[in-house]
Amino acid sequence: MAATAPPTTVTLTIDGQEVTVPRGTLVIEAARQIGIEIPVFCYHPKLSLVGACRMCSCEIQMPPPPGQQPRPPGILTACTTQVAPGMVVNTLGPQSTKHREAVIEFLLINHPLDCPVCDAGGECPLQDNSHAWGPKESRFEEHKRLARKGAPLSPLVVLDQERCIVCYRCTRFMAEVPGQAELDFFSRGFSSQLRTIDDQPMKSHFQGNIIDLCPCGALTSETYRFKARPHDLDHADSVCAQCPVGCNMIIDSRSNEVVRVRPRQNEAVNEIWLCDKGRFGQYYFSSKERIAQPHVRQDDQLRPASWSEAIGSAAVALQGVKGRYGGQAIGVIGGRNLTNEDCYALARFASEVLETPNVDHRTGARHTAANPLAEHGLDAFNSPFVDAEGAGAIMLLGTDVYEEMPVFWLRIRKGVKNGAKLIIANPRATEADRVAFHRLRHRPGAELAVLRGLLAALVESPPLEGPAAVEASPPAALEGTQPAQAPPPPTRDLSGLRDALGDASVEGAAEACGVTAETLRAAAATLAGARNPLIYVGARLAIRADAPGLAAALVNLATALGQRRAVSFFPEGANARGAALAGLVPGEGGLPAGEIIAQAAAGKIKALYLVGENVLATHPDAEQARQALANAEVVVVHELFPTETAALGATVVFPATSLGEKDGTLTNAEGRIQTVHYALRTESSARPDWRILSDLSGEMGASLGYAAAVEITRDLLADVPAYAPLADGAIPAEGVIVRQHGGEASDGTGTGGPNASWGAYVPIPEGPALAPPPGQEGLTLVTYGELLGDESTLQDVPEVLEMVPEPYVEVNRQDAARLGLTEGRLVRLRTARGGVERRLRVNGRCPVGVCYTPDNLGRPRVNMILDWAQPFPTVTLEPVREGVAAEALAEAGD
Amino acid sequence: MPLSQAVKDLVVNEYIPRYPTKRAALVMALWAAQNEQGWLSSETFEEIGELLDLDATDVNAVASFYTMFHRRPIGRQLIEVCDNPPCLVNNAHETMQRLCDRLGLESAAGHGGGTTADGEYTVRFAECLAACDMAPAVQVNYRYYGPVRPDDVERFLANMESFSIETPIPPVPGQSGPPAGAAATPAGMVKEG
Ligand code: SF4
Ligand code: SF4
Ligand code: FES
Ligand code: FES
Repeated sequence: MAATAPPTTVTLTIDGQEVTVPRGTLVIEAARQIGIEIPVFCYHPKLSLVGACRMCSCEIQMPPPPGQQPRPPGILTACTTQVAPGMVVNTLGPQSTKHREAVIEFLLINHPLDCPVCDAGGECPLQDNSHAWGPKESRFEEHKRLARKGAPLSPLVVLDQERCIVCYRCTRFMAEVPGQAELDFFSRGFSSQLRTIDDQPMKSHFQGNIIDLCPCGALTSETYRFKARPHDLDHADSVCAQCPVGCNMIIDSRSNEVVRVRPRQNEAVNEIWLCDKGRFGQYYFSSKERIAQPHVRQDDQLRPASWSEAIGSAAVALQGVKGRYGGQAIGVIGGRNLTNEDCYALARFASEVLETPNVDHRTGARHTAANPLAEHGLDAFNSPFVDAEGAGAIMLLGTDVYEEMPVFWLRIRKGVKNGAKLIIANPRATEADRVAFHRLRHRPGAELAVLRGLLAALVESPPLEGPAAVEASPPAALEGTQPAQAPPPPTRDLSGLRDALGDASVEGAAEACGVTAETLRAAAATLAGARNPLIYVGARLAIRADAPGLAAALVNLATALGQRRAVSFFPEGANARGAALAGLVPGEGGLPAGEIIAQAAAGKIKALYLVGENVLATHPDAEQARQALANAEVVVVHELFPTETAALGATVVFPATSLGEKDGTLTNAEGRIQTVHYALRTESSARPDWRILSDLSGEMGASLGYAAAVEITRDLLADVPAYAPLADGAIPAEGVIVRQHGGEASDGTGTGGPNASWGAYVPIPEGPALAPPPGQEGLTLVTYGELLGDESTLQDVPEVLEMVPEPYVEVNRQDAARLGLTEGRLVRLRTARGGVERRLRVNGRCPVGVCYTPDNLGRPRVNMILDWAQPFPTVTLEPVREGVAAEALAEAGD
Repeated sequence: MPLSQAVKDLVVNEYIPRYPTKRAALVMALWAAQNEQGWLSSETFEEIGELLDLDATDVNAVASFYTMFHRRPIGRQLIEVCDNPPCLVNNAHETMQRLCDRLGLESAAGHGGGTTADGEYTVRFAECLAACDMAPAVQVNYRYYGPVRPDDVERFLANMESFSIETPIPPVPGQSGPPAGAAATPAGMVKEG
């Protein structure tokens, strides 16, 4: 075979300019590179090619074969045509201009041209292209087609079928990016209709993106419809703080009210996407429900007070506790949803003013190490998000990433599309299972056993040295070499791992976790055979009592796979990583957040300082939290909304400002620090958390002395070693990843930290037994958070609230049949503590013997019936009688 | 009603192996499902989607492209009247009108037909049936009849066989018979619109 590789670049001429681009580049992209914009409708760089609209047609001429006459240029679509050597492209040739004029004329035949009442008006590619390329007049005299207008595709997205130009951007997005083909064109030609099956409302968490993608006003946002024209809006660059992805967004406001949120492109974080909570869940900035002024408790009632009174009484109360019992009697919880500036001020306030080591941002945490990987010399999250795109295998342990970090799920999906094999270990099926390669359906709480099983399987058949060598290498085969004759690569030395594992066997682990030994071996082989394996672990595992054991097992796994940095823990809140870096972690001898509440309930912690933490709803034992609030002498609360915690227990309530009113920085899961700018002026007397802390510290005689957020940013960057490379204060627009371990701020490709030595396997500490013993009677309850839970940020927007699922409990069909329960029944979910009512979902997601309920949905929350001592309780389900109408409905739905 | 195992087996063992991608077997699978069920329900779309690794919405969208796939139950006799120009000028609309009158269905030019209350007949217009020499041409369950002039309607309903067009269908080269599940359909003359 000839060994001459074809050239990797191609030179062509576009509008008289020569340009050299990589082979395979599309003409439209080549043109873009030299600043020539070719008009498009259907083409989108993030989506597959369809060539549906013909708007991008150009005159394209190929050089004639040697000795032949040149042929006249053809009209080709620039968005589907790849460059070729010597190609001559004329984007403005008379033929292509005429062609485009015709395309527009055709598109407008049935387009209603109701721009004056269309939301897209003023920012509409169809409008712009019609002005730029369209005929001045239409020759069409007949009636336009009539179709559905203002038709909801879901509570969030509205379709105007008449305006649709059938570019397939929306349908391609849904099918390709989140992989939820909920939308498609039904019927054909003139009568094509964008629909969902049976006109069911769309359910995806990514619907809002199709509104951005639509090149006309066919898809509009229910929450923004008829609210404003783009030129009326003020814009602020911000970052979403609803989950740890940290998507970049633009807040559009009018008259100091949020009217809509759009994604801001950041290829390293969210590309150009937002999830629906990020897009539709920021209206709370302007909520009417927000607390407008400070409150103090008098005669067991909260009453409004002035700032000076509230600050004064909080100072006196806290000083009192500190004087009587010492700083250790005070517990501080908060920070996972605050800015870094608030976190840093709170950390300083706790250590310098309250002088307590009991500080934590991780509600419900049971052990002190905020980053379970720290003792192994690693950050909690060790690879940039983008790395997921190039992974050979991705393992998800204990996370429903679609609910937990939705836009990062899109990145993982990209990795899967690029060939990554997805391994999911979870007690129940999640959205991600749809594209999983291995599903390890383990017993609740048995993650450690799963990891032991994988490790034991690796010891049985050790992975080869150098993971790249494991993959059959196609280029070598193409060149005619015989890969079979190459000497077998050496296998990695796992003797240290064998020692660390003790006598754990695959079979023993299989027995303990409920996954078959066969599946464990297959998953281990997949991991071992993959280039760049990555393991992502859910936030709930990082705060669990057995987290140190999980971390050790995971580090061993990563070491055995030859990629120590493979393991990453998701953070427990939007800015949890930032809170940890800012110092909101238990100090020397300090308690983790869960213990703070437990100790307060036991009467040992006398004062609670809660910043944005509604512990009654978030601590995994509401009864204990209630006792804590009752027993604490002083409870100071910073809040946006009136919460049950404030109502029940607060001595003083300070109204805080929301993210939309703040300047500052946030640090996302991967450790990327990003800047947020305020979008709104605060209309009430609410103050930023850092300012409240600064004022209060002054009153307590040890002022933090901050007058502006930038002063704190400066101190934070100078003080926290991980931020040291940024100490000059310049944070680039796309943010920058900082590392706590492993030295300098980097793109994450650095080597391990000081302790991250290769080949060193660590002993795996035995955790408390969490999983209920196998073969037990009753159902084991698993809980997790869902994206649309914590409804307080959604409460002002009925459309978004409609998307929030009715609080439910999910069981397996077999269990439902055994209990005589059917889909849609209202049931009481019971533990020894009592019961909560939930709607029953019957499906195959939970295995037999397990049921699931989201723990951030519904009032009362499920933590009402949970016991701090029992993370995986055994529960019963019993039917609740409803009104006749509801009963009949449930029957009809059966 | 769920699909029978026989249809599922046909799809998995016969249709899918024929093509490079599973999706390519979709139209065959839909046809087999409709032959069994008479029409295509959302439940069927789910089932076919599962067999072919497709979203039910995708399956539904493809089915909706073809008028020969029915989204609701149709009569045991599907009568289709061509209303393309040669048949039109030969009074196809009047034929349709009479058919509808006779069967107690509402008819309006261009939107003729419907299904009789007893579920025996469904009447509808069709695009050119490629039997223009027999205009106005009619198909009943995809068999050809014609010409069925307005005055013939009574007689036609009473004795369809006498209107049958003798059109021997040549077998498709390389195939032993008409496509599976399409027994009643003359291969090569399948109506497209
Ligand atoms: S609704 Fe918009 S994005 Fe979807 S096909 Fe129509 S014009 Fe394109
Ligand atoms: S994925 Fe997370 S950060 Fe991104 S928009 Fe959604 S909630 Fe916000
Ligand atoms: S943009 Fe090229 S065909 Fe639509
Ligand atoms: S026009 Fe009626 S069969 Fe051709």
